[in-house]
Amino acid sequence: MTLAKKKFRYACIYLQNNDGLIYSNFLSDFYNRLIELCGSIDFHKTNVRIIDVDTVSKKFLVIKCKLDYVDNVLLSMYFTNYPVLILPISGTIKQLKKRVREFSSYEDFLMGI
Amino acid sequence: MTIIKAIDLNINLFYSENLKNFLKNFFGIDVLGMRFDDDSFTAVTKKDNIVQRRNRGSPKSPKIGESKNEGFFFIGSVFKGNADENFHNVDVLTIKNQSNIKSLLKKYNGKNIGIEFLVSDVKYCNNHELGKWFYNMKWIYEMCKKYDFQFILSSGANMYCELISSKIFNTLLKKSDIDNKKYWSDLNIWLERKKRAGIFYDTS
Repeated sequence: MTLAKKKFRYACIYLQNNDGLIYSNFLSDFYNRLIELCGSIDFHKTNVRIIDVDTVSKKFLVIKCKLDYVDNVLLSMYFTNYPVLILPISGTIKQLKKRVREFSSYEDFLMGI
Repeated sequence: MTIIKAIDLNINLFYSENLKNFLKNFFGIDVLGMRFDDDSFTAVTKKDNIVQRRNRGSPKSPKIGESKNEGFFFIGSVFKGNADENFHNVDVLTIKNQSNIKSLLKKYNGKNIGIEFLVSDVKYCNNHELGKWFYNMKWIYEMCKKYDFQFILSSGANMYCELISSKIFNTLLKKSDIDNKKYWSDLNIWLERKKRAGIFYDTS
């Protein structure tokens, strides 16, 4: 029996101010939302991980999760009580970096809203 | 082949070309519904993908000497649970309280009004309320179909962090057991019909 290769997706969120407190509070809120909204079994199946990507600013938080559960992750991120902007989902780190670069051109404008 | 556009009819942010481009390029939102201060709508260059919203009670016709190039606009109102209130001549009704909604739908049966729910209203709710909201969306959607209303899901964004991408819209619909293709297609058709029967056309 062959094991199908697990597919992952990368969700990237823009944290307006990334000091350590906001980072940890956001994560705890996000995990709680995900567990309570989708159940702890699905939470573990999601295989959600925070990953550190070189060249991506600390203002961005990159979350890796299984493709099948990306909807749950997106919803839980949106429904957290933090002012975060969810960038489009990427299939690869390369694509994610491209998105982050493109987003930078709008960053000043969005902060002015 | 018809192009299905992603539509967010309730964005409470100041309009700018930057915002429009950002929503188009990053969030895949093609049509924006926004409120404009007095004459600011005339400064919008391409009005095709912009829907101007006005609250019920605002003047419908321009004053003498005023430009008539106002494009298309919607008259909106808010339903707070009182079904006895008069909502005639309303294009979109934003639901803030779901009690008595069935009476409302029965009362205005066949008026082709848009019934709008704002995701920003539930963004900060607890998980129990959120779960209930998802459950309610499905039966309200079915009721809207039954009584000939257009079900509309909008972001209601007051801050940039409340903006929603088309992907998240689709996820919300999926979680509410609503077929997203059908939803977008119906909304596009409804919007086109409203435009054709619209109160104002851009004469420029």
